[in-house]
Amino acid sequence: MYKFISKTIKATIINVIVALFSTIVFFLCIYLLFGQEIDDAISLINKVSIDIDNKKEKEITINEENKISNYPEYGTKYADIEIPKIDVNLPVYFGDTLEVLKNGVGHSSGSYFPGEGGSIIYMGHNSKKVFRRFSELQIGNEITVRTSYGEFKYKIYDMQLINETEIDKLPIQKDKEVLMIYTCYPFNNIGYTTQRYVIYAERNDK
Amino acid sequence: MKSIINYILSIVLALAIIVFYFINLASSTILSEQYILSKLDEHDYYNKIHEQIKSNFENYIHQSGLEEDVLDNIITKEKVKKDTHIILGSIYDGLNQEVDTSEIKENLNKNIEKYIQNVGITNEQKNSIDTFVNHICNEYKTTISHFTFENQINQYYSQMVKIINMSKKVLLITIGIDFLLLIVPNLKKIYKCFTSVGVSFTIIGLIMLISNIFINIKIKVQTILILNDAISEVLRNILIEILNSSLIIGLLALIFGIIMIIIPNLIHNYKKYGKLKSKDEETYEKNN
Repeated sequence: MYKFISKTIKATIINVIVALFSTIVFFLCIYLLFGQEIDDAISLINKVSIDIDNKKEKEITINEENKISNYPEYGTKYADIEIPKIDVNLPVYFGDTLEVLKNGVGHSSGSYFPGEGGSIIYMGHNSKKVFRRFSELQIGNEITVRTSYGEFKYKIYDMQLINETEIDKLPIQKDKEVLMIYTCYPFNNIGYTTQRYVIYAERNDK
Repeated sequence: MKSIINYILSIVLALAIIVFYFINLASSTILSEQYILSKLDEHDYYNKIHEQIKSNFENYIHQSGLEEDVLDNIITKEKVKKDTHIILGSIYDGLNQEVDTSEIKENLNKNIEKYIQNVGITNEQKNSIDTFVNHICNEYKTTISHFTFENQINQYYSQMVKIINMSKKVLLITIGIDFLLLIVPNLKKIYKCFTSVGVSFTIIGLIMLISNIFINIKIKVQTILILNDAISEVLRNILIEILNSSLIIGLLALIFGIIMIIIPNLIHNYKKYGKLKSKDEETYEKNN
């Protein structure tokens, strides 16, 4: 009675094993032929896959050799900047997009971080809330940057007016900690400005 | 030997059906203008992109010395919808139409004029206002994803459609021939033919399920961010819909495949052993 059932089960198992084996061979062939391309495509897709909600902020630290661990995520606040002379006390965000600058001062992603010993580039709008009174700054005025890993003081030693297109040419050096902050110029302009007012400040707390 | 040939034909059939399914899936989803338009409506794209454009415009206000209300009513949702259709028309139909920003320019200039009517402006400031207006117009084009390479995409699209249409015919012929090769030699044992189809569908189900699990593990579809939030949301939903539908199709194929293996074998064995049993009984009766 049950012989035909056992025969059926046997036939089914054989056929399912054949299907499973064929599937494994299929994936093995795909992997051998296109493995690298698939890996590249996955990493490319995951580069544009940003999990904003689950972003865990790691504590930024700096060691004795001025090396920073756990750089802040792009677009996040990591410091406060204080310029007593013009009553400025603003948050500093890592990034330089217009979206970032809407919230405070931006930090150019190509420059160094405070304490690292190299050039730091900050920027902000010349609006009332940010750097409208930038013209009042003079050589010798102090700037303080407070981060979670330390407080850094700078003293202004120069000011310059440059074109918008020259911003990329601001001197980035790794041996001297210089804070460069720029804003749009003229300060009371209406419309889109094509000049930038840059102040240069050197580290003054060592 | 015959069984091995049957299994090879099953594998070929499975691969042909899978490729045919994915080609059809692509041509009825991402390669279909109507599908994309329906998804944009479904996910309230025009409203979201309209809000995104306004938010991006505000980024320019902070450095302009102007007040935010100069941006009031410079674009409408209808304009956004019309321009989105122009972009899709360029991509899918090669219509090669330009997005016209003169209306935005005109509205913005009117608002700025109202704002500065009591303030005397210099020629230099007039130039920077013109630059500001141009930046706003370019920002509009960037946010609705109007780029210069839409025609190039259309060329690739047209080539792809031709290849897909040709592939569909080739695959249909392959599937037909494969079926014939499975049926004709097995006419006397038709259950073998059904079993081979069952093996094919089991392979299809397994490939689709494993691929689906692999994609879900390796790719974070839920958080893909391309161009802007509005576009990303539509894209994410399309991808999730495709993955979900292929998961369901894979499961159904697997169940159907296993049933197609079990039932014909069950019937065949039942008949075979039923006949043997009655023969045995006849022999037993004769002997007694």
